[in-house]
Amino acid sequence: MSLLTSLLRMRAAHTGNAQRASQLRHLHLSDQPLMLLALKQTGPAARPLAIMLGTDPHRPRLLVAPPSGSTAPMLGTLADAVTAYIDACQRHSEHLPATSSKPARRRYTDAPQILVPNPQTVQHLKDLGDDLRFRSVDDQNPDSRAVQRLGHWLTYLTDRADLPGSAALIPMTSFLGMHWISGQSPLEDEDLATLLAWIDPPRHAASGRDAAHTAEDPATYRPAGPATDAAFDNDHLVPLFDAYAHARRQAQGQQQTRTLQELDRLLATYMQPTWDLMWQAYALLQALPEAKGTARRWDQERTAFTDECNYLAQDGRPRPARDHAVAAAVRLARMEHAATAFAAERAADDPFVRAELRTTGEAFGGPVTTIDPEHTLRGPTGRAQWRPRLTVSTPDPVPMEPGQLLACHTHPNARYKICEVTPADGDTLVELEITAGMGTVTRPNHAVLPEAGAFLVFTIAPDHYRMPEFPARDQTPWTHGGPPADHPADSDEGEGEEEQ
Amino acid sequence: MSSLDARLGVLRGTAPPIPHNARTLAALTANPSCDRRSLLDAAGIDKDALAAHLGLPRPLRKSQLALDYGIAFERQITAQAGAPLVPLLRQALGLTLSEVSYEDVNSVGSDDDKSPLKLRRAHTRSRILSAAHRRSDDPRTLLDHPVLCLTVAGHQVYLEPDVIAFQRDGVFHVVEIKSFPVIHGQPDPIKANAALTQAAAYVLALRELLAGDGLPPDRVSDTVILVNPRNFTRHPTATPFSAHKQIKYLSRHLDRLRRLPQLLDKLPPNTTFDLAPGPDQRPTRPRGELVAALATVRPYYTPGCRHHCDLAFHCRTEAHNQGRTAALGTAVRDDLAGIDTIATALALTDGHLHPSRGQKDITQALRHAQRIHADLQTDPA
Repeated sequence: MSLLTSLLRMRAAHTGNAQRASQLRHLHLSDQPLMLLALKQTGPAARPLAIMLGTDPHRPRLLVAPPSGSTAPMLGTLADAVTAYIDACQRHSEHLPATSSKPARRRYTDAPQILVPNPQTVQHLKDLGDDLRFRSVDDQNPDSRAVQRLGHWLTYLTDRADLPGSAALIPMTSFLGMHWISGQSPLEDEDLATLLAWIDPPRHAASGRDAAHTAEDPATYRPAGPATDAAFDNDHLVPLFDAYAHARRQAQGQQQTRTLQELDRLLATYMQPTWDLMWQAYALLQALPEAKGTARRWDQERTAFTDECNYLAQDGRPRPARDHAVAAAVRLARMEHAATAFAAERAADDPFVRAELRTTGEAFGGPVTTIDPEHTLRGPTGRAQWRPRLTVSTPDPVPMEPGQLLACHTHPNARYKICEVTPADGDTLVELEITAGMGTVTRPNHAVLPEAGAFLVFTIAPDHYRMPEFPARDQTPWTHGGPPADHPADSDEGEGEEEQ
Repeated sequence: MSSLDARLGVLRGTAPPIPHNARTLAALTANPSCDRRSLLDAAGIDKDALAAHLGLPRPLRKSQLALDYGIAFERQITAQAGAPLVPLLRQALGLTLSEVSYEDVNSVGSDDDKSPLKLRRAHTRSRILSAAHRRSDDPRTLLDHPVLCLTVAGHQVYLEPDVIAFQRDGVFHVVEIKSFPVIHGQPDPIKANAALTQAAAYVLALRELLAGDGLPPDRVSDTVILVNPRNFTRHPTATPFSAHKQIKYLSRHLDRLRRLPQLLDKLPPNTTFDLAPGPDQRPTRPRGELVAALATVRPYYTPGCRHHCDLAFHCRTEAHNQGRTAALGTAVRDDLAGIDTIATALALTDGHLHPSRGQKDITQALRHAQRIHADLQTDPA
């Protein structure tokens, strides 16, 4: 959160209408995303109650688990639906020529993209994946392999969701929050219905604020899940659950089926409003132009997806319940790298992000006042090095030290070093030296030199990234080794869900 | 003291007081700066009834499904005289077999399912003291449904922990049975923290009991045992957690509650939150009057209040109507420290208001952000 977003939040609250933030979409949106809403049963961990999913806005598919008894049939159907969607992404592949570090390989031309309403649903899917991927496979029951595979994919997807810039599994509220700032608190923004009311109020509403107020009306409000609200539990679910349990005890098959049908109808009407909101949000986001880096990040997503498919085909062991130390450190390093890379690419692509950084002191902008294109200095060997210099006059505070390396949106590969920061009256003069991207004295790249008067924004350059070297598992000291032998997670395997 | 009670009684009106319990004590630590909550809780006012009467959403309403699930899990653990619990605790605490015995204080001295709190408390007290002084040959290792007493702002509050375990080397452990899962050894951190804060209340109460008999506080361990369903099953697992932080935190907040008289002094005379129930027990108090009465006590609203306070939606409406920055979340509130309302902040930004001495820096930053945003609209760079 920057002061700029705080200011816009206040403007939104004051005017009653959401404010535009970034106007460029930084996450790829598939033409055929898999929309997925999940409800969990109150009480047990990760026991699904219902899942609504599909790629067609007019034909959602609803899967309902019975209130008690086995969820295996429902999970089997869910596994088939998700697997069919993922398989469709593997239909075509492209050839990637060999590079210096990698051999030639094939890559799928598509990757799965699942859109869910909120971060809580991501967490629920993560729990579900944790449960399912350790289920034992029973050769008598073909569903069991599909369910285990579903667990594997859910773990992969929710893992990707932790990676900034990944578009494999996106919570809709966070996605919308990148582009619009509402006049309510970030906590309330996690609710899709009110957030969307702020952003895209119905035509008859006077303002986004009014629409959000209307959306909260308990008579019509439906939380997007995965938790159902207490009133719905008590007033609607409890009677049906009781009827089902009663029929089950008495072994009245017909009555059981009738109750399940009623539950189906109830949950369909409960989830339909959120389903429609999801597609409304999708249309809004699809209308935004893509930022430059978006396609490249989607390429990475496809690479990751292809790698995962290969892993499943060749090895296929589930990810451990808890990473051991090295794997956890690798994962953390990847996440940090992804976060800095995503931030740097957004800053290069998006004027709003640069504006935000200017309010947090991580960037400054202003017109170029003087240029010294001929500036050279003597290197350690005595050879002349071409280091053009320029001075920028900025109204922004510059809390940076000389020596800091900067990047600029006009030439993403160029680097600028701060030589001197001189506060003048009102504005600050910053003298910069171009240290990369300008070529050499013999083969200069003059395009990198700005014209005097050009308005430039300089952001802190991302550090050059190298994956730290980690020891192999047998080289890891016991203090940082695998899970200790008496760890409870060790005895998990083969433990299925119980009949209740 | 009685005058304090009388004044709190006036605030509450005719309704019987809702006593503090471990849950409300835990909530105290969630938002300790809220005078409104401190006062309403001290007076034992039913906040849920207030919210219902004001026609507001009731964020803390309990789902019957959640309650049933929790009760079923607890029954499963304490069934057959605590048989499933014993091996769990033996592992978690290192008890040896011969020491384990179990007593349920729930139906002590009567045939009813639940004996009166006072009686259960007296029994708990004698059991615990005799165990602590080793007067009895039969060491009571597990005490189910004990009742403890804690002094909160000068009042005796009854608390009902799930189980108290007693170890041979003389240390008591509080055991809490909770129905949220521990998945691969890790519980949900928010739920675990709430459970540990509740357990902290029991630890303090137990220490108070022992201190009354001249026993040192370290006879009650800081380590609390949580019994939860393991992973995705209903098999229980016991995990020891250190509640040291929560115990310190809670006892500090309980000490702070002594400032009640000052809060009461600030109220206008004749303030009351009485719902004035009519003959049919329906509240007859005009809503406007109630809202005005609530407005006399300063709240400290944050959007997170909905997770632990029945009145959250009332305070939210109030914060919205007053245009408070806190209504937009803690990030905005902290960014604008020192400026309470959105209108002031925007007036400072737009130059309609002259900043006071303390507001100079933030005003400059706001105007800078505003300029950058304006540039963005005209000439994106």
